[in-house]
Amino acid sequence: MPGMRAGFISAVTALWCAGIVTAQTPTDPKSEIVLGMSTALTGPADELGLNVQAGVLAALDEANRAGGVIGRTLRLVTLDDGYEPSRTAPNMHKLIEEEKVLAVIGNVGTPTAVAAIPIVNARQVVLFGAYTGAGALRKTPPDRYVINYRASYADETSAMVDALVNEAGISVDEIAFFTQRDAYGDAGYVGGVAAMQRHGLKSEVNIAHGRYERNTDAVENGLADIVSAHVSPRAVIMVGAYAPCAAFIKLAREYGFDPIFLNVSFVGSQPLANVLGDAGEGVIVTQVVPHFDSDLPIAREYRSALAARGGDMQPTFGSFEGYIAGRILLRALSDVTEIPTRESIVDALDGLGKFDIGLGLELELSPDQHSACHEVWPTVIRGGEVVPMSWTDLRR
Amino acid sequence: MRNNKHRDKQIIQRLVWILAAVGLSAGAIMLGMEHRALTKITEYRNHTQAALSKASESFQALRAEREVVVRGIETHFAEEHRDVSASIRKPDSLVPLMARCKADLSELSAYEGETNGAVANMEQAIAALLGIHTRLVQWECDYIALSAQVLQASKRVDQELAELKSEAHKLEGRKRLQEAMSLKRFHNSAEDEQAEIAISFVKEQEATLGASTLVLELSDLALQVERLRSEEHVDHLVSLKDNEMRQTLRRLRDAAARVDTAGVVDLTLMVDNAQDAIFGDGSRDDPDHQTLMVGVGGLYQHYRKQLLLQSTSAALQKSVIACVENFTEAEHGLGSMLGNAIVHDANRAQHIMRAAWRDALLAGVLVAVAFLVLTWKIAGLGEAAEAQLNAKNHALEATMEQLQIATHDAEAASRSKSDFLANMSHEIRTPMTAILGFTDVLRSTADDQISVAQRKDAIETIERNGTYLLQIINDILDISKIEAGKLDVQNIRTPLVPVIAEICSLMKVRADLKNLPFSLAYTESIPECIHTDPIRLKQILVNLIGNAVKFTESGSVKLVVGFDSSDAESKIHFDVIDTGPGMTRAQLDKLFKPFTQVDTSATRSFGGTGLGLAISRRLAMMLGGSLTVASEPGKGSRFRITVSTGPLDGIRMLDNPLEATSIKAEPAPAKKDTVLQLNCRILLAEDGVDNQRLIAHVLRKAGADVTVVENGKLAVEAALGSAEDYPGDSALLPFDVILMDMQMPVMDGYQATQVLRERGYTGPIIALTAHAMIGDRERCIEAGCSDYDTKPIDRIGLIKKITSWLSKATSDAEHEPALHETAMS
Repeated sequence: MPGMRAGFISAVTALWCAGIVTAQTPTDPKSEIVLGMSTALTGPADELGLNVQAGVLAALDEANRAGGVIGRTLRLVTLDDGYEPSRTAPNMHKLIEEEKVLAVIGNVGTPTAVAAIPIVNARQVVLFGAYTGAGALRKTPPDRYVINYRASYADETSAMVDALVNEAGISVDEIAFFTQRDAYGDAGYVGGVAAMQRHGLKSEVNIAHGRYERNTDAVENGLADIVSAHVSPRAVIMVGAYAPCAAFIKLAREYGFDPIFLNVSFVGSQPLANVLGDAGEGVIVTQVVPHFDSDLPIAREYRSALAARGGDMQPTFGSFEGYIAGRILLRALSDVTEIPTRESIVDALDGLGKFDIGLGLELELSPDQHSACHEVWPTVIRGGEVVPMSWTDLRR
Repeated sequence: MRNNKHRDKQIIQRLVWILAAVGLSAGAIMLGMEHRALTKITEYRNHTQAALSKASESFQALRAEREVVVRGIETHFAEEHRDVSASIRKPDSLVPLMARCKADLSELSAYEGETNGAVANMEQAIAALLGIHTRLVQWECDYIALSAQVLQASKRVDQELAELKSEAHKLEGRKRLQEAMSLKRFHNSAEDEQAEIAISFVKEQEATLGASTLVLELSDLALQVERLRSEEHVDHLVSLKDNEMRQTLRRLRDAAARVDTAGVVDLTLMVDNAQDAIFGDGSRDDPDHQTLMVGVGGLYQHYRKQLLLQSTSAALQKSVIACVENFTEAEHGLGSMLGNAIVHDANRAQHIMRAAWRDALLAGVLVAVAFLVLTWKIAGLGEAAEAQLNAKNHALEATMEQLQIATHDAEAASRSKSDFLANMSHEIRTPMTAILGFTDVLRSTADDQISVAQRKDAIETIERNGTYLLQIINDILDISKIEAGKLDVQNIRTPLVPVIAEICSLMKVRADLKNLPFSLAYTESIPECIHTDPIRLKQILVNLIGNAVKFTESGSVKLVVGFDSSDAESKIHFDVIDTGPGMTRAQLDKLFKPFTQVDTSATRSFGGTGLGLAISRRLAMMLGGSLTVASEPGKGSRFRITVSTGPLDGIRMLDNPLEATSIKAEPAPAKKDTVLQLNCRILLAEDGVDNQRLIAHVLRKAGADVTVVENGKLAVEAALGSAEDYPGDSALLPFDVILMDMQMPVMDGYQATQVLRERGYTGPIIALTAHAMIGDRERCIEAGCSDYDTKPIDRIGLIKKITSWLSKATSDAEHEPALHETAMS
């Protein structure tokens, strides 16, 4: 009978549709949040890139295991730019237009960030927790779509200068700079000079400033410049990558030049220590995160999250920073009430205000304050390991 | 005669039918033939059209494809050189399209010659385009290959130079460090050592300088390589190579050789590598010829080749354009040929169609005409029957209408008669009352109780009212006769002037009584006599002029007579113009209605019966004319009577009628005092006792001898009397005149008169009758009366009548004078 047949077919169809619907729910693209990252997975800054990525992923996986955030799972799309800004731009376009990421997190590098900033401002997608302390990401007033976790290079070098002057009793004339010849180097240098000016520096012209070309280890000229300074420097603030910095330190020691070497966090503490070997003893590296082995709540959560990822990733400062950035973003996401959009994520981050992520100090994010943390933690290489120190240790 | 007509009709009808049938069939046959011809032509044409449209289609496809190909080529040249396979569509696609087009065109066998030429051109053009395309592709490939080589070479050069630069920098740096160290030692050492240190410092400085020179030359070389890479002219390349780069490389090598690298690195080798990368493996300086010999490969060679290839691009572009132009030309040729074919075909088709249409039209007309005739015939037959039916219907309707009108009229007449009777009775009763009243007064009042004057007054009142009553009765009888159509008017030759004179004389008297000037005027010449009824004419004029005089207090009354011969019937009109009070529109409307006087109060002040105008109007109409009035309140009125003159043949026109009219103000003859003599013997046959006494008295007073009998029988006996024996002898008759009342018992006047006449009585018999109807007179005359007079008797008129008959008898009986005298005794 035709009536019965129609009824049978419609019942089967209904069941089939229901099955498809239910089957789709977990893999429904609408129920996940996609994040993006353009970083150095290869090239001279590859270790950094990979570390930061690992930290972010640890945070995301931890959240997914707990059922996601606001009922959605999190997914990270990472593209390699090899620390080359010319590759960063197309990556950013791809992430924003093709992958349709809701936010970009944990990009590594200053020149690469400088290439990324105009893109995120134009496309209105937040660049959060970039692994760079450059001033370009810390304008006044801040860019709406550039939000940072870490302290700036200026914060780091400033802390160094303060400690050197206050604790080590070194005068500003005796502080030299060895920087990478690019925006990264410039950023570190400028921050340090500002601090030195606070401590009474008369003229910038006399500062001993050696430079080297990015992606080379041609440090000799830079060293020569510093060594031939009128006043022999007693401390060298270094803003560069770990390989050339290590070559510099070794060559300096070879030529009997033995000041206090201070590196900013971007150098890559463990790689630096590894390459330096014995020559690394006493080299100071400032961090923008507490030591990953500390007892802080966030550090403990980080270590367990990293371990839960599997592999044999050891805790590093880079991945710790990535994890912290990820955790802050997740906290902001959980504040979003409706379907998360690029705008609502920015608003949520701006709306965090004063908050505690477990760092042992209060962070702040608001529409005017786009750098959550300004704290600098000093560490020192001892026996090939990077260990926490205190500035007061400089009082020898 | 009727039968023949019918037969003719039938024949004609049959003919028409036959014609119609013939027309139809002829038309049908023609249509059929046309249809066949059309079908054939359509078939043939469809075939041609199909072939044409197919050819057009494939041509369009070809053209479209050509456009795409050409556009691709153009854009390719406009943009930077990319992958050729993507941008230039292969013209191969044109070949099958051309083949299809050719095949379709071949079906148009009619245009073979033309198509072959155009097709050949097209095929040539396509072949040329294909050739060009191949060349383009080749060029592209060459260019791409070269570009790749240049890129690769470039990379190698950059690499070599970067390495060299790096080493140079490091070297320089080391040298500087050495310097710095030396300087430090210098500062930190004793004076004696210082000199040594100073010497080594100087050496180190030299070394540094050497390293710096190396760095400098390297910068120069790098710059020159950049210039090489951006050079646009091939000629400049050679100069760059031989003049500049050759020198730089030499200096570089020198510098490299001088610098001491402590065996760590072989700078000269690195310089050689750099040179090879730039100018090819195995390149070397040729100082004899001042050139740099190029080796195998190298940036320079590849780049140069690339430049050379690029320069050919312009020429290639030109040839492509030329080829495309040829192609489009051939295309146009083919296109126009197709166009012509289509137009030609269309024209032929149109021509055929027109012819076909013309024939079809003719056939159609024939058929239509036949059809029309048929339908007309059929319709006609039906129409005739319908027409008859309609006519009958109309007749019935007309009859119905007439009946209705007649009924309506009868009702109206009946109503008016009732009205009339009502009015009539009132008008009669009023004077009657006065008469009887005063008679009663006279009778019942003793002689001594009433004065002579009072008696006279009463008698005058009685007489006045009697006269008035008689007037009323006369008028009523007149109007009744008129309404019943029984009033007859005479149509006798009437001299106008005497009638007018009489009227005027009569009326002047009345006007003089009121001191009103009365005048007569003629507007033109009038005929001497007209055919009309003088008595009735006088009656009308008296009525109108009497009214004018009666109603006018001051001013004048005029009678103006005119003659109007402009119409078919000539007419005389009499205008009675007064300066009386005049009448308003409303009053005019009521004027001619019976018993309506202008003003109800006028009856009392002016007298009159109220019937005068109605009667005058009717009389005027009966005299072939009309009575009209124009009036203006306060100014006066003008009444116009028109009467027809009748035939005027042989009647003289009076040019100066006024002169001929003599109006005399005759004193009214005193009625009572006139004594007329009647010396005769009169037999009065009257049944009414009062009338007997009245008439006998009047006649005896006039001197006649009156014998009265009361019926016809006695009248006959009396009249014949002893004349039975003398039937024809009038002298022996006892009476001179018999006055016979027509209405008598036993034997009425008609019978008596007849009997008398049969018995041979020849004497005058005057009928006295109360009847005034038309026909009464005739009846009396036919019965045998000589004359008649109407009751109530006019004393004077009767005496005159009798006198006139007596004189006749006298003149007749001049032969017998004795009879006359005998009768007197």
